[in-house]
Amino acid sequence: MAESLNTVDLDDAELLEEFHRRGWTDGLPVVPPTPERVEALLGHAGLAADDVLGGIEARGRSLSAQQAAANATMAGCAPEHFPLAVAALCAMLDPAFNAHTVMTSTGGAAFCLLVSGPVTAELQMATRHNALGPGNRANAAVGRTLRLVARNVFGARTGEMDASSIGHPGKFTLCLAEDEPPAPWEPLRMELGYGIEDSTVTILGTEGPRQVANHLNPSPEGVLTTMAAAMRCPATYPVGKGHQAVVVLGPEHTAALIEAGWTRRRVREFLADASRVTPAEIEAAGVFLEVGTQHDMTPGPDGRLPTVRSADDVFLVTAGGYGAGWSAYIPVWAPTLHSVAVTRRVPAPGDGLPSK
Amino acid sequence: MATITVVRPDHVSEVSGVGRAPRQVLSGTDRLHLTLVENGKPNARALLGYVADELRSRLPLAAVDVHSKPAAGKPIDADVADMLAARSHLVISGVGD
Repeated sequence: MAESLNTVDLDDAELLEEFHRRGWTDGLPVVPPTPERVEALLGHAGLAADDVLGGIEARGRSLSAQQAAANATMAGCAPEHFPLAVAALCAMLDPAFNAHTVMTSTGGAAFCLLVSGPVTAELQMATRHNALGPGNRANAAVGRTLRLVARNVFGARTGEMDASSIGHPGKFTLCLAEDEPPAPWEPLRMELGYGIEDSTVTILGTEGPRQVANHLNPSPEGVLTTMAAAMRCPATYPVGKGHQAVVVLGPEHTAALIEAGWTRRRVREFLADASRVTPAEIEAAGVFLEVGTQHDMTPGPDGRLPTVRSADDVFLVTAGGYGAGWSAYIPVWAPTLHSVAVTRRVPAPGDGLPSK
Repeated sequence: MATITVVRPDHVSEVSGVGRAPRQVLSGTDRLHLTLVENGKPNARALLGYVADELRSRLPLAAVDVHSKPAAGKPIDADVADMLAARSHLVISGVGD
């Protein structure tokens, strides 16, 4: 086998087995990253092979556009998916996200992507039924790209630099595309300060999604109290310490809130307050409060501790198909002390690297 | 055997190795300043504090300090690392859960 820093010649008949032997896959088959396929992705995005998307200083490693394209090809990306994957990778490598810890933590975090804007329609992403489930190439392949990059470029493998005790299936891929909310609500990207014409991707290091059911109570307080009950579970590590979270509102719950005149801001503020917990609630679940550690668990004036750091730390996403009344909750795996969400604008084809 | 050329998806190090940082030669341990870095997790401070007490009682060290990181998930800032290196002959770090 001829092998260089950039390419390797492999036995075609043994190709997938060789990829598995080298630890280059997530356990599932991959698309061989031939030079032609990799060049097609780079060309569509307007990137040169040696362009640098970012790096992780603590690991002394950076990510080249060629490495990104090779892993995106393996994950199943077509050229049109690559600008979104590039934006997501650049967000992942922003120091504020702290990818070093997200990849390493025993808590086992996924790279959760929230995609908002015209790109969701352009790539025909799943925004309604199975928004968090299987069946859509763009959702699956873009999310998977980040995991393969983490494994292959940054060493996030079991026994090496991924110490997940349990992990969860979202570590294969976890890419949620927003279904544009009904008026007068604005989409997520506008809440984050971007324009209606922009497409954005936001990354958070998260636990797995929990489905939240409320099929019978049409009141805004009822819907949101149910969501807050999911958020404040003491078995979730950052509860009482202050973290960020994704609240996915299904169409029935979204309609209940909008028809009652609730704004997105009011929803986020309600959830931030209703998810606060007392020390007694945490202790009643058998969880000890941390004392004298990196996490300050001193209750506020209301005698309670935060689940989310503030209302601004609730990422509200409308998505999902019509059904009986389902939403979902995706908590960030650790307090904001360790990692915060990062957003990047998705570049147009040919525009190269994304802007903030 | 038919072969297929693929682009490597992994990191290939072009560095064969790095040398050790300069180290001060000591004739004994009586001038040795030891620093233990605890990572901020609940049991790290207790464990490292115990280790520090034991080292103080067993070895004729000039000083044994415990430095607390503000966040387990983040590396020590460069200026803090420089400060610890300047005042210590040996630093032990890497405490986990």
